[in-house]
Amino acid sequence: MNPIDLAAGFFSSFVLRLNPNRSAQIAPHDGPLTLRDLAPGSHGRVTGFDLPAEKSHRLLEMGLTTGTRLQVVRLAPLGDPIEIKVRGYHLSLRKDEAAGIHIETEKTL
Amino acid sequence: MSAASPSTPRTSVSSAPRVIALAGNPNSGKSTIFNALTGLRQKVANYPGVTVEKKTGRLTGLHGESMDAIDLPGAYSLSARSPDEAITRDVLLGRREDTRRPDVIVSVVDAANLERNLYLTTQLLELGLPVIVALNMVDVAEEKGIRIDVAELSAKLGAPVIPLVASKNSGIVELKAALSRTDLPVPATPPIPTDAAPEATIEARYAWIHHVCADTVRHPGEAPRTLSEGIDSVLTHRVWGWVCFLAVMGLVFYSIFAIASWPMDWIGALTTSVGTWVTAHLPAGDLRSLLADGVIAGVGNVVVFLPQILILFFFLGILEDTGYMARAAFIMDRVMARVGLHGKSFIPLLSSFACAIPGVMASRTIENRNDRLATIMVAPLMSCSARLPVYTLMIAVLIPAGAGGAWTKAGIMLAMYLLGIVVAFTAAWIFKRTLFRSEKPMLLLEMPPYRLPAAKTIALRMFERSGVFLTQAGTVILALSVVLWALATYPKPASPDTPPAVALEHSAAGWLGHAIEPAIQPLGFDWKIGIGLVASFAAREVFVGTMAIVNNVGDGNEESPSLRAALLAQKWPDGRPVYTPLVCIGLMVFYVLAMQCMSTLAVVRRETNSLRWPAFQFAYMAALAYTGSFLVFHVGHFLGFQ
Repeated sequence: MNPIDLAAGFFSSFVLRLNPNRSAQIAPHDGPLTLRDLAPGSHGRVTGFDLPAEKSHRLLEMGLTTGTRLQVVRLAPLGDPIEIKVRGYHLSLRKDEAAGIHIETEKTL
Repeated sequence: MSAASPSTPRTSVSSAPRVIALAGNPNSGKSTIFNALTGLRQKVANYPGVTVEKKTGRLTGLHGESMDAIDLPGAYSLSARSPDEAITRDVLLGRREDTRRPDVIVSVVDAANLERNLYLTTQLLELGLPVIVALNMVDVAEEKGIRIDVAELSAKLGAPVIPLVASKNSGIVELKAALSRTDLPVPATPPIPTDAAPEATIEARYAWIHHVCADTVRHPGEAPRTLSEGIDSVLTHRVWGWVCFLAVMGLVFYSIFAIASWPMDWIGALTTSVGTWVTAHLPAGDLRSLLADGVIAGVGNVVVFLPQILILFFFLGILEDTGYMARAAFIMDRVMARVGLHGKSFIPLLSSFACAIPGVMASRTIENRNDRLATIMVAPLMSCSARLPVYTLMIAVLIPAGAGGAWTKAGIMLAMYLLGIVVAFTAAWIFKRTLFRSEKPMLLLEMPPYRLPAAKTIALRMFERSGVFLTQAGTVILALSVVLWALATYPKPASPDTPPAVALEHSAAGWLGHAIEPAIQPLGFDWKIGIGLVASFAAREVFVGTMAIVNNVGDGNEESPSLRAALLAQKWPDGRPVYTPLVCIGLMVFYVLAMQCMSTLAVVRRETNSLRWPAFQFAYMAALAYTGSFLVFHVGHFLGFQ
């Protein structure tokens, strides 16, 4: 582990103490795979939403239609929000909403 | 909705100038095109009844004809999920009485981000109005290796497509030529079922966009990592991201706070010398006093904020135009979300440490109405620079000079700043759960590619903001300054030789000070402090000067030893000293929490477009201030402090 990442981890988890979810994020859970489960750098396709209609409509309008390919670019320095790349542009959204976006991953991607 | 055939020419018989509306996603460069089309001939106002800004302008077509242009608020869709989008929809449908229905729509799209931008276009094509597609930032698209067949795109959309690089003024003439055409076609309605479920309609629109782009847009196979993505890997990095963020915010804050103080001093000096000149050249009397102490001081009170507003909007323009604003919100969102605010609330709150006026004005970047109102409501709790003289004076009274208290003094000062921050965040937390409760709004933050800012856009915004401040807030501030002057002047003492302190005591302000004494006595404040509280409603720093007048001290400076000595000598009728440590601290706490600034209230009125919010803000902050001072005084006594 390089020293910068080490310092960053210390900074984020001890000094700021705002990021309790960072380690929990990779932990497996029951239920369908969601955008929240994707690690930075990985790709997926939107399969559906588990969100109030107002939010899912907005996400659809932003181009996250069924089958749309997206990539998780990074997490914010404090672990939330998440930045994704979709339809050639960058969008960030909170983990709360990301957990309501169902995703399928493709090994080929 | 009319489904006229694509070739139907639109006949315009009316002699009124053609109205064109610019619609587009945020970050599509819509305002740059609007600025290029209209230059300085623009007007900014609010749509009546809402807080959405209405930007209109004049432009001259290629044949010398005048046209009116409306720069509609940025929108991702016409389904009106925000007030901005509702306005955009209502103007386009001709539903607003205050705005003529446009004759032509210019749909501004970002060529480098075509699919999502075309979503709004598909909705615009259904309105039965001629549409011109302004394909902006084609240079960025080319750099990314995206090839667009403009003729084919135009054929498929059924609307003229004009490629532009608005920031370099390229394509503007062509756009004007298209706007001057009298034979603009009304496009065919895209084949999208609008009566289906909303999800199906949205999916159908994107399917149609996919079909339109399939033959017209060619993407490179593997998208190369762009410079923008490279910059982001530093600016949003877990360590360097913070370093850069703190450096940028430090620079902005320092500039508002420190650099603005020079021009502010010049303006102050100029106001004083104009006042002196008037005093020297006019015969003594009410008119002279009104001009020197009412009008000129009032104008000075307004103009003195200009440097901070100009500097803040200079930086805001740069942050917004470069795209860093979205990154700052990305970095800070987690922190702000803890109290239910939005990442974008950070900059208005930070700016409020210098002055709440530019801070409140900066809240315009927050799209969500509830988030924006919550931010505006708590912004004045941040200790602004006008509180410093009050803190300094009270700390000087509290801690004897030379008693080795530099650290203690700094500590007390810091405690006041922290108190403001803690109360602001607590208040925001409460407001977001009560007054501004909405379903936890979603953060959907587009992270636009980094761009070089356009000097023209930034300069226009700086002058536009200053103009709004001077004309709208300025008039209110000036009027209130005159009222406060009158309160402190009338009724006049019988003899012109009455010392100023006695004259002030017998004025309406002095009467008010006496009148509120029973109310403020529980805080340990006497009527002289009452006069200070009334007078400093104009601006907090006025408190120091007023205290100097009521206590008969010549030089009213917060660091003046004579003022300090005079305050320490103040006694209640029963001989107890007025300025006990608890009263000094209570007074500071009062100034941390109270909305003692009519200029901010005037700006809040303008920004919220209502009297209700500034009234509520004044009331809740007054209640907080009273409670805070009361607690300091009584809990302090209970704990055995003096």
